[in-house]
Amino acid sequence: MKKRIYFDLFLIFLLGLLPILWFSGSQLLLGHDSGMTFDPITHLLDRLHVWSQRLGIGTDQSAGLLGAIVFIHGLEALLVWIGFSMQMMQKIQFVFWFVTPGLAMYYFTRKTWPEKNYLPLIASVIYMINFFLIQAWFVAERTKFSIYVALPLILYFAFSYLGGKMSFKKSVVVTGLTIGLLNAGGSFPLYGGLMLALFTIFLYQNLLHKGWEMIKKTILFSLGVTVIYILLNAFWLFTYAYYIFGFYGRDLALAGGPQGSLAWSEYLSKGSTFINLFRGQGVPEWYLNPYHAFAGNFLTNPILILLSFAFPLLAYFSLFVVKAKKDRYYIYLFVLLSLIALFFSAGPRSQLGAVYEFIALHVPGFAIFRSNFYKFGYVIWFSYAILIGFTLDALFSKIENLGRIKKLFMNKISFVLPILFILGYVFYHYPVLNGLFLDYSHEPGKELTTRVTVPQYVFDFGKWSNQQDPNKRYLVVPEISDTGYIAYQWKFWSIASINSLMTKNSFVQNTLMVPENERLLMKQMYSALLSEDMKSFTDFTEVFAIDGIVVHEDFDWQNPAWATTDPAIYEKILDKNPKFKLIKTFGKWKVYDIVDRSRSLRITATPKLNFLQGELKNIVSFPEFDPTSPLFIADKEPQSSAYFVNEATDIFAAPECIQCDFKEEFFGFNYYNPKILPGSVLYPLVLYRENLIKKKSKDFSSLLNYQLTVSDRRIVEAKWIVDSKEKVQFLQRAIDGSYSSIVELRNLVSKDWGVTGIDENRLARTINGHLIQQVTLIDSMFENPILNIDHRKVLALIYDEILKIKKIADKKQWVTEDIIDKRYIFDLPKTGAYDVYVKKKSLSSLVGDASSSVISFADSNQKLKPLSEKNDWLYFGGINLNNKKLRLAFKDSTLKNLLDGINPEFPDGNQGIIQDNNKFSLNLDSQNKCFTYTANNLEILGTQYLVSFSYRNLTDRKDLGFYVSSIKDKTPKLRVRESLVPNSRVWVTHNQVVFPTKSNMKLNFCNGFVSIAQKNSVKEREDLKFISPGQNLIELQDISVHKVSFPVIVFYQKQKNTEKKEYVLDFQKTSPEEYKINLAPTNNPVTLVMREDFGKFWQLCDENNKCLPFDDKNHFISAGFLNGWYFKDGVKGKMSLYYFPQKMYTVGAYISAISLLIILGGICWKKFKKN
Amino acid sequence: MLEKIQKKLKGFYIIGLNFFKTYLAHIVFLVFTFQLLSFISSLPYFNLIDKYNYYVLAILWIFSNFLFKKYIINRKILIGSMVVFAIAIPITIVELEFLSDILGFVAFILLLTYVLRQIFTDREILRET
Repeated sequence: MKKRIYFDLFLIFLLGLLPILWFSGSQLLLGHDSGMTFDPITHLLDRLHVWSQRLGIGTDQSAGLLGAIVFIHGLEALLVWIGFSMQMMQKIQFVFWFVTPGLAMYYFTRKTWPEKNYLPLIASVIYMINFFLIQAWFVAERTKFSIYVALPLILYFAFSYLGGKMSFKKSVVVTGLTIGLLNAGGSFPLYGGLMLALFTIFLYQNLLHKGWEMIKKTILFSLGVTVIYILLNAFWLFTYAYYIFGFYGRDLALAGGPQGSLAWSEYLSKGSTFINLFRGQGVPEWYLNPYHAFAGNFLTNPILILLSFAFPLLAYFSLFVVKAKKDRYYIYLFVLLSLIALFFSAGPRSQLGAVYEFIALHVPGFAIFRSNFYKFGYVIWFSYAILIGFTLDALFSKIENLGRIKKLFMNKISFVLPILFILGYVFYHYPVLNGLFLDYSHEPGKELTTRVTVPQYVFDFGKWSNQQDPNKRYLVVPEISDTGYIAYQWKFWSIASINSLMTKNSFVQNTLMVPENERLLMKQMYSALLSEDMKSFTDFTEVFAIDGIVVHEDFDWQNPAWATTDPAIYEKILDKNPKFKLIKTFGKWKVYDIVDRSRSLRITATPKLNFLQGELKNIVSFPEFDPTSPLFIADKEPQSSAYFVNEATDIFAAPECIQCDFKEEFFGFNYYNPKILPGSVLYPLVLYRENLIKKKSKDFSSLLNYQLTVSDRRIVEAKWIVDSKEKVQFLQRAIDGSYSSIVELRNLVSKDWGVTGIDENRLARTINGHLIQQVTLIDSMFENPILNIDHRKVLALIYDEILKIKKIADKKQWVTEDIIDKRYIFDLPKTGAYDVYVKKKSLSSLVGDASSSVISFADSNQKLKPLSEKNDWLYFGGINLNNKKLRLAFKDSTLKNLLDGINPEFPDGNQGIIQDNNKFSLNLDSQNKCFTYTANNLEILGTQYLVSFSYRNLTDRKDLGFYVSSIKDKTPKLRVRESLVPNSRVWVTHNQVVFPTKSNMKLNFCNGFVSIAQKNSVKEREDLKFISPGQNLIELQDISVHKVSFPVIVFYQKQKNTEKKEYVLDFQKTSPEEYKINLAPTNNPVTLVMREDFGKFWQLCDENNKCLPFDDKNHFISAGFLNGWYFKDGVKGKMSLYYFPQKMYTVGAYISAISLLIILGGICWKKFKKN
Repeated sequence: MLEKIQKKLKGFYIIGLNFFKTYLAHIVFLVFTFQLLSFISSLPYFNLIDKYNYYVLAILWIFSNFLFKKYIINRKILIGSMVVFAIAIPITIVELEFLSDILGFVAFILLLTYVLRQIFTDREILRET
């Protein structure tokens, strides 16, 4: 037997060397979701702290798999620390993770079936190599590997305890130790499969051994293991609990809750059907990525498809060959386990998807298993490995016996058979031989791989940056596109920035890793730099405490899938501006410093406190705005708004222009199936539920929402009855219900709304959106013969009521509808005197004459005109306001039609196209012809233009084609068909917003499209029959192109005069989570800003260690994302800032270390005593 | 020859007739259940269940297992599941996805039935392990 074990282990280790074949040259596995770092030691050290600044402005990394520091990051760092190269470190690590699943499975099977010759080896090989694991290998998912290794071991200990072969103490200690160390890196979702397997075993055991004894055993085992697990993982579990309290709400909202989780699961489960999963496939990537490296072969090659059926046939054939009692116990269980795991891996798309959906939506916490295939799939492979091993063991044993009896084969047959199996099995999984799965997309022009050769300068930069002052912060350019994909010319591709994988210092970049509001601000900072609006850019850098800029010239900026700005543009701007100085070059990476930054702005304390109603981007570069001073933003913390507006020294109100981008928002409702109609026995339940909601609706907004929803429902019910012709006898009741609900709605909106101006506008638009849809439904059923005279009478009354409500709503609606008249709503935090400013650079044209611009107020005749210019801002004078609610309109005099002075072109000749000044008439002679206008000198980089024209058709069909094209590329004629605008016999205006990608564009207006095959059918067209060739078909006029601008209007009030003073004498960052601050003492109000991401648990203490409570209202979110503290009575001397969860981390680490020592010590002591 | 065929046909007829005679109540129950479940599908909330027909089939299958114990024996179920896999091979090769998906579901149900019934049957033996 020993010989057999050595033989098996030798083969397992030999297979374990496969990862060595995956790399050539100096390639490394990096990028995508791998989390492999460029500097493992720095990364490990950073992970010893809960707070980290490597992801930009700083973040709590409790949810960032802190549990991975021991077995995953610890192992990496250790290998590098010993002196292995990065590639050798990865090879050793991968061999380790490749072999250990095999060894774990070997342990399980050899211990369970010591008498079986072939089963342990076969099961180990299948468990080591399968498509589930290969998919994980493309990003070397070590967290998954660790739980994968733990599964067989834990199940063995569980079986041993429940079967009475192992004592409680021993089983709990070894199980706890296994899951404690192989902890999936602290990723709870990965426990899905393990929990499923344990739950199935517990259930199986309890069903067989009905009785209190087994229930007690199950509970004791679970509790015991949980306790040891908590003790060994205390180092990250404690901080994780803190994280849940601080950030869980934000993260849950980002994930979209259970519904979002289910939607994701549905997306992933595209190919996870029962039949595919049975065949060992169903890997989401295979079906979602049409350019997958090898999936195509397995999905289409008949031989490979045929071979894939060997998996279920061999696995479930074990049910035929199983004879012994013990074997039956295990085989039935593993068959059951494989089927349960199959159901959970298949997810919501399978035939039993509704059951899965129910579980996903109603079992609390199930939402974490959103990628269900990856979280439960490994249990299938665990079961399959054993079941297939069992069948093949029986088969090979039969062959061996046959050979022995008939003396047909050589003596070594028992060794040859498994080798033959392994060879065949490995060749079936051929991508594992050369690492083909690492090249995960073969899409032409967008090839993606995790095998990359890293240029030396990247490592050099990492080394240099780790030696810099930890308070220094850099902005990385170019910006990342909205896709969030970060790609370099040397093939690195990920959504994690490179800097976060190699340094411990702060690099600001708009990655998907940073919260959305910060990303938006960063994008505005990038665009300020690109448009060379240096004042705005400098203000942004001061808010962010940025000290320099790093240009990544090697960014893959040209790829259309993640295109961004050419880094050379940034370089040009930085080189020519004396504000920036090139201090270091690392190959294609350049580091610039901001020259006038004498001290770090990471921590500042000033007497100033700014209060802003609106967005930060609107007040950067404003003359009275000091970016180094704290900024309370009312929308971020509305509950503290009243307090801070009184304490503030400067008040700014700078709201957004309402619908200046001409994107029409949808305010209506989606037509739906009401499910229960009037007349149903269940209908009283609907009314009861509505009443409950009504009782809960206290404020105007919720009452309106209730009333609108009810009136929608009533009319939908009526429409549904009419269309379905079901319960027609109850139609009158539905229509009457609709009428009474609309009357109630009218009564409600006729009263004072009592909401802010912004809300009033939004609600008015919502009312209009819903009512228009209701009218559409009334229109659609009014003529239906099912309706009798009474029905029509009530519908007419409803219509009248709707008109009344609409009139009220229209009065309250305030929206930009044309390019000249921009609309704003101000909800001023305070009444009183304000100075009014408009940012010049936000106007339509920088060079245009702004002196005729006008601000007018909706509720008064007052008009303001520019009086003077201060820096980049136009001063419109002061105004005394007695009302907080303010609606105003702004006319931008710099706005001009970019087609003025430009003549149209007629590429197909102008026969049939008659121009009369700005009016064009197209007749039958111009069919298939186009005329064009070329707009020049356009701004790119996200600038929008509004193309507008009026037209009418004199036919019954869509005949006018309009599209925008580039000057160089000729658009094929046939595509005119796609550009036909809606037909209209009366004059209508067509507006289209375009985002030019080049400095010019061509506007094409075409008189329809008739293909050569349709020429004859044109003659048959009824609508053209009586039109003579010279008669007009289409008329067009007022063609214009205007730049869409978002003028920034700021109302400013100086509430208190302050001197410009900085109270922070010096400060020191002693660790990532601690600052020591030395302040100049004062009794006057002071506000301190620490420019790291806002965290509730940042604790501020004085020199006597007296700390502010976590919920103190004076700790606020400065500038929308930073930490601000307001001291009304001044400050005294020294202070410290500490991120409190670090204490938990440290305590947890001690608990974990001591527990581990006690457990290991206990085991050693027992062994020693035994000997 | 003709006589033989005649005899065989008679035999089938008698077996069929006997089956219907013996299990008429069971068959009626199943048909009634089927009708009821089909009707339920049009009721509120039930009409929202995706792939409702599969649940109907699964429920009827569960009832059939109890009602026709004599005919639906475990070994047949297991062989049936293997046959289903075998049938699925050419169907998957010619990429008739819809059909192969259904076969996968059928195999799943058959195997689940087999293993649950087997556990129930062998529970005494399994308990001893």
